[in-house]
Amino acid sequence: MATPTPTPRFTEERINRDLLGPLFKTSGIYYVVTGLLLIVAMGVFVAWGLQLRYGIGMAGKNRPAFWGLYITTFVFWIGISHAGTLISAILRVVQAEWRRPITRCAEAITTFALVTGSLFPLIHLGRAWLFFWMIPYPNSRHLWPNFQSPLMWDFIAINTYLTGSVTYLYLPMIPDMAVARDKAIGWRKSVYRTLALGWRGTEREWVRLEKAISIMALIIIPVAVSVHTIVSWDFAMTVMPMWHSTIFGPYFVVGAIFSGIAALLIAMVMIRKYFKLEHYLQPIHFDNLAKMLLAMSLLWFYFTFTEYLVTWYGNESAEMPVFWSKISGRYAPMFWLMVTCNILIPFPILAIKKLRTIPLIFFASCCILVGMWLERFLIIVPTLVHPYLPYNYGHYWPSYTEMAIAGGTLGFFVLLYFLFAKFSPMISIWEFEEGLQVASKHRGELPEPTFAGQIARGDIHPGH
Amino acid sequence: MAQSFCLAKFNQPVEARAAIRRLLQAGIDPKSMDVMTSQPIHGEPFLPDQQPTKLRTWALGGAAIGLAGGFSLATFTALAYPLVKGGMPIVAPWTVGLIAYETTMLGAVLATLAGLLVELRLPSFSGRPYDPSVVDGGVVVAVPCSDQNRKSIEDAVSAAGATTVNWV
Repeated sequence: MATPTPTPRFTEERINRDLLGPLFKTSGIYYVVTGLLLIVAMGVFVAWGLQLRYGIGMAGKNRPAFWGLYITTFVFWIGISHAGTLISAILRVVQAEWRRPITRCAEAITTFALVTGSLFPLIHLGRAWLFFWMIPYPNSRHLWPNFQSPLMWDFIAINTYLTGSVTYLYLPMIPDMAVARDKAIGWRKSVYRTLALGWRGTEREWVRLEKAISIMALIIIPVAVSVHTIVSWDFAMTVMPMWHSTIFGPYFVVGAIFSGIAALLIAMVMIRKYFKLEHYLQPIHFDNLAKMLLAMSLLWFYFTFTEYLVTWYGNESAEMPVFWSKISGRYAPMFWLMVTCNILIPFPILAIKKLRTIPLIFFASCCILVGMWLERFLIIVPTLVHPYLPYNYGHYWPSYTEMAIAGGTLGFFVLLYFLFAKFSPMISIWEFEEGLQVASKHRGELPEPTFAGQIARGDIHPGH
Repeated sequence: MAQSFCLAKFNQPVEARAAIRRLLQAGIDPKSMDVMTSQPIHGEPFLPDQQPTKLRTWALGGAAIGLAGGFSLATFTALAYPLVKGGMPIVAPWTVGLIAYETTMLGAVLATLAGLLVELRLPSFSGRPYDPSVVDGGVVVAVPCSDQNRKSIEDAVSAAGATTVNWV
């Protein structure tokens, strides 16, 4: 593990200066990188525009594989979205003090990964302008959504999760928006003033905000679990080889948290380096998250092993072609690359203390993201090209439109994250300060005498 | 005459607490005072909270509304368009339950947010007493004052160690 960065003496002024600095000072590199990301993100919308203009045929979908890169990447992004809100909420609920500098980074990942992932059902619809048919409201068509369809469950669950995640991101941001309001000038001041909602930091406000955040944390955990379970049911509710599995729900949730933590670590490394936040994002934070990542890697391997072992042992005639296509057939290179990226590379890096350095954790996290994308692809495509009836077997190769859209969303996501980092402190200022206060109490400083308690006890009488 | 406020800033919470004690002894109503900080201060509160928070009730209420809404939506939608799908009953308990679960959570989220805003009377852009320097640390005590008690308030906060005293 890397040597801890020497901690300077933190004061509120210094914390404000360090964490608000990126909001008010913009380097040339930021503009260049943002410009490049904008071009990549534009590529997504140009490709989508062409698909809308010329039809869904541009996506190259054909029998039997009607789901390909779009749904693979959709599941991937929804998985990434589990980084933030779920991890942040769990750490808040268990009062893990080391969570404080990482919660904002994590919650932002959730929000923007959900926004990115939510594009895919629209893109996959083909006639995207008819998406409102999924919204249940009385209409002249006398048509109502079919709530017995797992795709409608997706729609409801993702919207719930998005609403919850945005709220959960915004609530702890309110006091930081107030700090930005008090430090900003010009048009920025007006923006932050609006977003701060008139926050003053009164005792009454803090009590209620902390209560609201703790309630939200409790609500968001089951929602996050339900979302990826429901995404898994898009597959498991169909009677398709290697999809109709009872463990798909937890298997997907584990994979989602696994890829989510990896994405969070990558984001933290970038933020730490680019915004020069070495004193805030310390090696201990990476070390703790790396241990969580190791646990999830082992859990993921356990689920994968169970899933494949049971299939192999069952030896069902419809499932074996799918199984062998992954183990030794057309998809074997991708399968073994997935295993390498998800367990063989990360395991030693994350398990051996000396290897658990920030650069190697970053490398392992990148491998895991590649591995988890492959995992989603390998769940979806081999099954689709090997349906029950062998004369329906087919091939799938993504079209350029699909590749441009799926690949481009990475740029779109990073662009949103970059813009957010210019707009909000990436480390929650007040939570970090509160952490210092808690740490000083843990060091043995006695609590101060208080007077509210004395008033309640009648020791002090207002007016006397 | 418009209400004016004394904004006394202290470096340490202990000084603010001493000032509050003096102000209470001088007859200032604790409900009229505000204590502002850049972070939540743990331990016993500076001032007795006038109204305990009902956010949990808000969340439960929102959840109940969401549950009823989701249950009704999924049930009456199925009944309004009664087609047998996948051999399931018209109103399938599993799917109704699933939709109701999500809307329950959605209701709880929205109600918690609404409850917070209502209890704190936010957004509020009117001129409530505030000292922007509080974001750089310290504790600001806001006390309503009149011409009659201005001097006694100033004496109380100064004696407790206020670093700055502003009148707004």
